[in-house]
Amino acid sequence: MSDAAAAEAFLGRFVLPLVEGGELHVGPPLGPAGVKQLAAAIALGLDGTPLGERIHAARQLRLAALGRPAAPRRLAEDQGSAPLLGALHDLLFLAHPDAARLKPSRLTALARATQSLAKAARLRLTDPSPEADALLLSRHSLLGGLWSLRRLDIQRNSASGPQLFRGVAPPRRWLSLGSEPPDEHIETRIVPELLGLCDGLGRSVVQALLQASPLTDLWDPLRAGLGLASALPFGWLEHARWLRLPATARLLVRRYLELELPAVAGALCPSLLSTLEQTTPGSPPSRQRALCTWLSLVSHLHLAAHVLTRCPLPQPSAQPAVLDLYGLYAALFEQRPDLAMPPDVVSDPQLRPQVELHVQLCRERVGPTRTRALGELCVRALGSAPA
Amino acid sequence: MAATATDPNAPPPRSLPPLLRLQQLGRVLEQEFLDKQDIIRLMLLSTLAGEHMLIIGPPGTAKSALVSSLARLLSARYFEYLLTRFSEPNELLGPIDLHAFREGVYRRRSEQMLPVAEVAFLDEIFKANSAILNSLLTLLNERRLHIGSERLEVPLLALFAASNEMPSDDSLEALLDRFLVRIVSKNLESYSFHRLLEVGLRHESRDARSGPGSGSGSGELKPLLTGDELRALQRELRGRLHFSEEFLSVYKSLIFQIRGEGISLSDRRAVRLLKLCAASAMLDGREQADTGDLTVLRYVWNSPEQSELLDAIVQPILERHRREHPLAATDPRRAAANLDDLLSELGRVRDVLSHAAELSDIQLFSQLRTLGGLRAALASYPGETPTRLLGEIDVLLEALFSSARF
Repeated sequence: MSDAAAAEAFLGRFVLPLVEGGELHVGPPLGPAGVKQLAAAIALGLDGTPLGERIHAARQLRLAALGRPAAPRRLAEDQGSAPLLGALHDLLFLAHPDAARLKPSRLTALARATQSLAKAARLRLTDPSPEADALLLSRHSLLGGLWSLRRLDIQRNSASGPQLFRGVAPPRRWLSLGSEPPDEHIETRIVPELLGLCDGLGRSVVQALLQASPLTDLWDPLRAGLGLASALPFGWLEHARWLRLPATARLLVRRYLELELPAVAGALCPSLLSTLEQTTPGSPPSRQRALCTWLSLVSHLHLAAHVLTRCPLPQPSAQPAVLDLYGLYAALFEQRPDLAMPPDVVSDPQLRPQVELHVQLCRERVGPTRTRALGELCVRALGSAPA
Repeated sequence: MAATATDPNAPPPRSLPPLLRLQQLGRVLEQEFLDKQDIIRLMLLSTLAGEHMLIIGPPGTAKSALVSSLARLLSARYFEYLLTRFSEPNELLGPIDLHAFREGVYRRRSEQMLPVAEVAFLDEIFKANSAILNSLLTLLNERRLHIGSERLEVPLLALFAASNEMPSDDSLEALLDRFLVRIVSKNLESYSFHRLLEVGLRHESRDARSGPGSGSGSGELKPLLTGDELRALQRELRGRLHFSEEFLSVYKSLIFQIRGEGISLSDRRAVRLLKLCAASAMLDGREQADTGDLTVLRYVWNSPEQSELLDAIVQPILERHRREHPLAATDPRRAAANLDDLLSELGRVRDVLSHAAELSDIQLFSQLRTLGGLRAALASYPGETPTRLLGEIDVLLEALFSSARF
């Protein structure tokens, strides 16, 4: 099979279902050489084939579903797309039953190569700009399905006992006699398994992939309800710069409101507070700037959830991390009003009283002592660092 | 703490039948309180049905002022109290009568307290401790109090309770169940805000003229009905508890649907809600309840978040009713909005949107929400001006969406 034909087959069996939904087939690992061939085939015009067009349309649809109906970059327009797709594919191979037949040393070498591929896909842009906005969306249109990837396992019951076939159909020779209970189909979310591969190398690969697609990382601070908050913390501080893109911030605010603010608070607040505790006026300005950006987003979430849409406050019995997010807003309002409200809300005779009422309720809900402590934390960490 | 009593001796006008005066009472309250039509209607229904009602909402949303004004217009003995975790039964039921106690008789001095009130308002009801809870449960359910060996019948017409939030403690479930309907009192939509300031200032100056102890915001309200007349209406309502098979079949299916969605609704409430439907029909001057009266089911939630779900269940029935009965009363909320207010609010929004160089998202979406509210309010008005204003809103929205702000 020629390089172009192999690349097209890869797009068909792996990339198309990744962006469009459907059954995704993992083959032998591509490795650096395979990714190079894929990149070369893409450069030669794979985007223009019917398959390439279909993938592009599916990515466009995915963005439209997010409320950002933009045209993603073509694969050829983003040099990171081939290593990104190759790294994800090879990582999934490592979780495939065929990989279990390889020697551990070979597996580790493969995992390291996969990690290098994922790192090669990292973003070259560092500043928020319209170009960065487009790239973030493009990457997310490729990788956004990561959190929902599932493997279908089949448990076949036979005379010799139950046998589990992970992600593959039982071989024909494994006959069912017909008298046993029927096959059980078990769907497993794949991300938790990926994290445990090759003594933590899998986790590094996933993190590198999420660094290459910050929007995918930020999109799900709850980690799709997989209980991975501690195993895979989201790179909230390192992605702060992207929140300075108004469209990205707006998209995430809407997303976090969908997830519901108390739930997001539980995922975000412990990291936010621990970073505030470790930040002093002598800390690097970039760190303070990142914190200020996130605190502005938190304020925006409060205003959108409680002033614009009037969601109820969490119960006093809510988790401390959840209540802290509300105390933090009351503290910010007192100590750093520039981070708590946009200037046109400060001067608005209708909106400002609503914000003040929300702050009062937050303070009552969390208690004055905790609110004061959070205020002191903000002052100590940020001083008068610019918003 | 606040405990006040109104003057029960003021003579109400006798020229109109009591039911019409009750309707008039509703209109007076609507003039006094902006954008509270739903709450006022539900208060009237609860009072007419002799049921109790819970109002949830942040401080300063006129919860207590609404109830005290209702009591004043009803010329009813009124009792109001803010409960805390440390409130004692004495504070609601009156202190022990020490003279009688020395003579071996256990009784309370209940003058101007809850046992003699006809309309009562208990703020922060869910802070009631177990000592108060026991008395309250019997009082709410049976309108009866046990004091020592004495069983006291209370003249309570309706009790209104308020809280900032729903209870999270299971021990308060029985108390919550005593409140047939629940409603949220919100801050006003922005298009009513200017009128709020005017009306609020008018209340303030009137209260200042009435002097201290005159109640909150209702100094000049003249009674329109007496407690006895209301009791007669309540008796009349009990004679009207007949429902058509068609109505009962729709009612039953809605109750099952509501329960099926996980919103608990006790049998007691399911039965008593029928009284509220009958009260709704009676208040509108109809002999029998129809499916339009099922709107009361929108207020049976156990937490405000369930309100949307209830709307989704009940609204199709109400819409069908409106289609089949186009001449039935229109949505009071929309009909009551003042066209001048809407006009001035539209001008304000236009100013904000056209003059600010750069708007924050919060400001932008707030104005968009206001435009949506204005649009809905204007749609209920016939005539050229509202149609012209609707056109202006559409142009404004189109310009906004096509601008770089989105």
